[in-house]
Amino acid sequence: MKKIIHLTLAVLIIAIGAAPSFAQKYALTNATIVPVTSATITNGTLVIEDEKITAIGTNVRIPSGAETINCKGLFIYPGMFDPNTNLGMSEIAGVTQTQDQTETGTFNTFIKASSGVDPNTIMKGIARWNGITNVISSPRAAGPGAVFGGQEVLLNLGGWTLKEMTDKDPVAMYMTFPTFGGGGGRGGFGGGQAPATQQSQQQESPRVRAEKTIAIVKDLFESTKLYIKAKEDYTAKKRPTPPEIDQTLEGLIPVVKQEIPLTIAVSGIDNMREAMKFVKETNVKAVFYGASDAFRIADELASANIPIIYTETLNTPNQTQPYDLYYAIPSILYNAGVKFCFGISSTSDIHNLPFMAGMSAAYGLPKDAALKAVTIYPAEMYGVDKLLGSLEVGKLATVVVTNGDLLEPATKVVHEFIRGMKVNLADNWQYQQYLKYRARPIIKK
Amino acid sequence: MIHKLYTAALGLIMICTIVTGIYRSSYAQKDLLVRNGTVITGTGQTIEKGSILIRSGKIAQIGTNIQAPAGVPVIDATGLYVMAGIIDAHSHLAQVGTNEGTSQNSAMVDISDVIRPDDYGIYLALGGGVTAMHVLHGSANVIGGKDDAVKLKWGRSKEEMLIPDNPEGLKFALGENPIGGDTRYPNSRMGQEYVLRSYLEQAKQYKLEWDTYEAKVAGKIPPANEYEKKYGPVPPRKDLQLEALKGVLEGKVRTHIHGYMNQEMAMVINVFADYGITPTSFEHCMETYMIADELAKTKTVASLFVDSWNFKVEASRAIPFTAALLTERGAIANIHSDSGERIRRLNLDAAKTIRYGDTMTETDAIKTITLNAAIYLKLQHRMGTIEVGKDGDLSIWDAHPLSVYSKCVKTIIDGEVFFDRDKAITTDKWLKGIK
Repeated sequence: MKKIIHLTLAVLIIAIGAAPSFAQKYALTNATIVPVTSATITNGTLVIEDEKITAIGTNVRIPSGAETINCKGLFIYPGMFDPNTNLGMSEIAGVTQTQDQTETGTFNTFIKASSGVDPNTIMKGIARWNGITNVISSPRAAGPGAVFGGQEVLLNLGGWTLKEMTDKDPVAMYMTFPTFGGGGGRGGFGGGQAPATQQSQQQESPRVRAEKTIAIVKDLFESTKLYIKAKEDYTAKKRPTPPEIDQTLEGLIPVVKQEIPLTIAVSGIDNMREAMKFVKETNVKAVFYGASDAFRIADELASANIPIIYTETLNTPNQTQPYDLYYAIPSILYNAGVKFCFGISSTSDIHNLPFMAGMSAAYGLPKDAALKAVTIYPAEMYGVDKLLGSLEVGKLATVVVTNGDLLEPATKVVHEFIRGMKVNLADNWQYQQYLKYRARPIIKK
Repeated sequence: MIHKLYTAALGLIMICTIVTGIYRSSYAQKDLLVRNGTVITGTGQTIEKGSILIRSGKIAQIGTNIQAPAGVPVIDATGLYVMAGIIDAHSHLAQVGTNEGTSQNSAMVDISDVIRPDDYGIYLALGGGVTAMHVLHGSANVIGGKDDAVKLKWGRSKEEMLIPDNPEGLKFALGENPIGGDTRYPNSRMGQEYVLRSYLEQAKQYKLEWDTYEAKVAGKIPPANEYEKKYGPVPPRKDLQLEALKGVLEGKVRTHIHGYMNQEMAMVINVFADYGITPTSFEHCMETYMIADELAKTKTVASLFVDSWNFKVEASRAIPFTAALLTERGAIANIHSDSGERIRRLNLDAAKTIRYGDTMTETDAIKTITLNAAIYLKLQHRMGTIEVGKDGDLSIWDAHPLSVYSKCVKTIIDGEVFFDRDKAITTDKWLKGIK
């Protein structure tokens, strides 16, 4: 018996010793703290307990047992957040087998990004190196007639498994808006067509086809409302049997209930106006993704209260456009009162997110707005600002410690915490290669 | 009456010519004083309240208290940063056509034949502080075409843009791009080695024929036969495909080798060594961090994307730490764009070399887009740093050029202003125009 107890104790000790404890306390002291949603604090302390931020300020009590990290000369920011990527589903762009973000079909409301994400994607450590702690991974709608891509998942890049990485699932629904005309603009998204037969495609104009598609979508929304009602009636014992399970309508329930936004990939003035009309009529929460030419109808977007994921920073203007257009567009959106955030257009470029925001600040966007557009704005747009996006007591401790301005390319991330867990920044395949080849003995011959 | 009309017309033409001449000479002003800026020389020195005097297109004086000689225009750079013009070592802007990929060896073609000086991309690059770029043949075949180095003199002719004493250069390509698929040999890296070696071998023979001929002409070798004794030596037939390779063997032609994977680049070093030559540069060369010491030994410049990667299999082992690692081990790294978009933000790509690694200084970072690119082009005697005697190529910024919050406000080439944000159509002005 005694032996068994000893053995159990030994196993317990080994287990505790082997795995780092999830629940930890940290005090980051003497830092310049940039909470984003409130004024910068100099020489401040930030306390992390378990998953959350429990104190921020210049005069805070450090809880007993907390590991103190002296951050003198360093800066503390919230982690950055890119709300539209294919992270975990897209690896090498040129290799089809590594592109797993697109399913065939038209109304794929039942498709879940969370079923396809590889939690061990090589991009995870690379994104974290630059202070990107959260992404939304989004399934795509592609091919003629494709409308709904599927359910998006909010990930933190700290967890070891997909379960640990999942912060909200689903967090949004991806939709490609049908093309009404006017072209999609450069580098734009959208361009979906109505599901139609070869014959009718030849006869119908894009607008007619798009109108038919939207009619189908509206019909699906109405069906979803009836479906919800039938389910509620069954629960309230107002009907004897539950409605037959319909996977397409199941996927739309949180959209219709306005619990999650619809990410609408749409570009071009005509299409965006039609999309705004659609949003108003269906009364869904919406985020426009891509949104080429949004700056031309910024006032309309602002009054419709529709936010935008801006992905065009690294587009090249054509000869009819001013040389700094794509750097300056965020300032136009900002001045017009459009809520927007930055997004990368290719997953393998995710490390560039902070610099895209910074470049806009060189061309007219206030610096604090640039910072918000990679932290709190995307969190607000996706309804997760209670969890993420700023340094506030009660929010998840998703925290980046740097040796300089977060958006500067020459800045280094020194420490990082995701949901209170200290990130091993060296867990970055590219950095490991650097270390490996740095250690190569210098050849003499 | 007709006579009078002729006279009037002639007079008008003369006046126009004179006015144009005056306008042109004032436009082509190559004297300039940039005064009172933070001058980052690129040699490791930063001069606060520094001034640079350019006379006849060349940097004549650098100091803190230079007065403008009579008639020399002045740019007040108070509160601004001045660095050397950025040099992009790898671009395909201003080209009508990039590849003559139908042959394994297209060394007979020359990019300078297809330069298009009105490419809007030139103006966009000026807006990012770039003053010169290297325009290359594409990567469709193992031995590509000849290249050129141009200054971004937007609005001028091709002839005015070409850099006069630019040594010739030749593009080579390895790996995925020059693999011909089912249509043409070679279809593997092994075949690429063979193609490279066989053409170098032909060029060696070709060079021998010409060397022999020239030695006979110079009387260093006796005539081979009675005919030659009587009529003189017969020149070998000119072969334009081998002519450039002959220059490569003589060390007169720069060699720029597009490569991604370490083994293909190591292969070229070895093949070239058999002919007593070394590669001038590798292009993109994502995996040079694996063969840094070999590059240091051959003094081959690594011309890199700083952080572009994973767009194809051979780019999937790229790391953004390569510039730092190469610099640490004594090899020369420059950061190039290979893109009409990246060329506009090379200053930020340079800054990233500090983020990725533990060793790069600000001077090291700036060199990756200035001096190291000039070394690559073998034009470091005229470009790459702010030093007396070098070309008056400058970029002026409203914040430190390695900062994301900076933007280029003026770009100066040979003492002339080619980009001026104050005069440019910015988005602000454009929007007012269209509203």
